[in-house]
Amino acid sequence: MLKVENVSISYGKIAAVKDVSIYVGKNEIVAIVGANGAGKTTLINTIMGFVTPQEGKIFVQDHEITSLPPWKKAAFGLAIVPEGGRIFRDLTVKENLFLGAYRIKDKSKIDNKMNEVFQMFPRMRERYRQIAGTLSGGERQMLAIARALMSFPQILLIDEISMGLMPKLVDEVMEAIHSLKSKDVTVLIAEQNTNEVLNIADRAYVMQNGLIVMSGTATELKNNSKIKESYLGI
Amino acid sequence: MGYLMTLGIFASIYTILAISLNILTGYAGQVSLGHAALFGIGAYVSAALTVNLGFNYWTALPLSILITALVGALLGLPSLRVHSDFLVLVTIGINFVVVALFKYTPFFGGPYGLLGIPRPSLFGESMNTFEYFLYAVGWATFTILFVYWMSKKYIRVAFEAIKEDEEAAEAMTISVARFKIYAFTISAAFAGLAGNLWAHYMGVIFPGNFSFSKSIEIMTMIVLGGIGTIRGAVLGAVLLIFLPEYLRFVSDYRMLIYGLIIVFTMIFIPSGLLGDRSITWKWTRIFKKGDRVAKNNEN
Ligand SMILES: Nc1ncnc2c1ncn2[C@@H]1O[C@H](COP(=O)(O)OP(=O)(O)OP(=O)(O)O)[C@@H](O)[C@H]1O
Ligand SMILES: [Mg+2]
Repeated sequence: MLKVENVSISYGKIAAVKDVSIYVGKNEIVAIVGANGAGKTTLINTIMGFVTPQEGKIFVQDHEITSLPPWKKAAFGLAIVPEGGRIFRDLTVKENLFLGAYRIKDKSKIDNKMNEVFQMFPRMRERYRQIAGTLSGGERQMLAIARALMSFPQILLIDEISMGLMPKLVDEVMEAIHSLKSKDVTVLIAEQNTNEVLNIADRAYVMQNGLIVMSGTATELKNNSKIKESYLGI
Repeated sequence: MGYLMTLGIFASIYTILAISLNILTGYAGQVSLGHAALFGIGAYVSAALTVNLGFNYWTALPLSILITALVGALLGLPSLRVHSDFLVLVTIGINFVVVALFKYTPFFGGPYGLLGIPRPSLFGESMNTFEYFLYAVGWATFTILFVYWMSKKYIRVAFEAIKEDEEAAEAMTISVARFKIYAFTISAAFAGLAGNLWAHYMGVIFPGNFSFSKSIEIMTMIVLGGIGTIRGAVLGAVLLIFLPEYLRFVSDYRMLIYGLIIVFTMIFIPSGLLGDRSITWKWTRIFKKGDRVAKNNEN
């Protein structure tokens, strides 16, 4: 579904991602875990097209999309829940959601999706007309996910969704992400909150200093205390 | 009476100009301090077509709007590379370049400008001041209605999105480049219309009519009235056309006062007199029934 081949990215002299290759199969949930500054955000942003890699290739299904601009990548079914949410704060919840569905022309499809999203996050229905900037931190994160889902993504990239959420909400959000599996959405999720994300992921990659240092099924990684200590700090 | 009519014509022309700048700066977030250049292009193109090339006004009108829109699209290209503060500098530079082109091109009359620009004629007779007043008010009304209609459309939300976060907007499949060029083109088309109306009312145009200080004047109007709203642009244009006529000192110290208006508005009422978040606007809404918060949110 999504394939990243030998991608390297540097900001000036700082090499943030070094020769990384990952693979995400259809309807899989794959996690990228690692300490602060490991390169998770850089990798996610590169897949979305916010950052252009110096080396390597990125494929969606069998199309090469390496250096397409984000708006073209989105047309390939990619959507992102960026670090910090980056919702449009001056617009209403409604407008944010409609922007998510920007490329969908069929009005009834949008309405159906909207209902589906409201079932997942009933709070968004209550806050429909509110200016997004006035939502609470947790509600903003939900809006960010809801907005991404509105585009009918095939591949959803999620960056640090648990940031600033209370544990109960983290559980809820993770549950919501897990439920995407049954809806034909493939997920690549970067996360600090290793324990939580390994509960819902199928597989995971561990990043350190821009390198993938380990990968395996979520269960393997969860039960390997050595990995936990040396790479994940838990 | 004729004098009031003339002020009405100016107010209409500036309303169109202020609204056009508002599309670019208020909606799409592309701050331009060179808007007078587009105003000038509309005026000069229409004047040159009618005076130098013998075109009929009604042919020159659409052509001047179209050509200004195209130039606007071209002038929008730098905005794809430079952002905010730098874009402001680029647009100022463009204003000076365009004025210099008028000044040094003999075809455009050089420093003496173009004279004898005809009034449009209706049924074989050229319009008198009253008819021209109605004509200008008609265009201003059309502009208000058109932009109001546009502001309810999706393009407006896309503009807001790129204003707020270009990367996030791109992730919504909105091509930032494309929408920036749209904003420049639509804005330029209306500035061209205003230029056309100006040239054919005045009958004479000079390069100095479209200088940088004119750009400041247009910006002052939307800042004072409230950036991002049509009502603010209209109020700003009307205030700044009528005030100087009635307050002598305002017209004597025009640039000083514009400068002060910008500074004080920005510090004390950053969303202008009628901006969505201004105290004055919210205050007027007290008299409206219903859910104020929801109302405010919708605009
Ligand atoms: N725009 C930039 N310019 C220069 N260096 C950058 C830039 N963005 C990221 N970096 C650097 O690249 C490295 C990887 O950053 P990245 O944001 O990808 O890490 P991360 O794994 O997402 O960390 P966190 O868990 O804290 O979000 C860091 O050392 C960071 O300082
Ligand atoms: Mg990060």
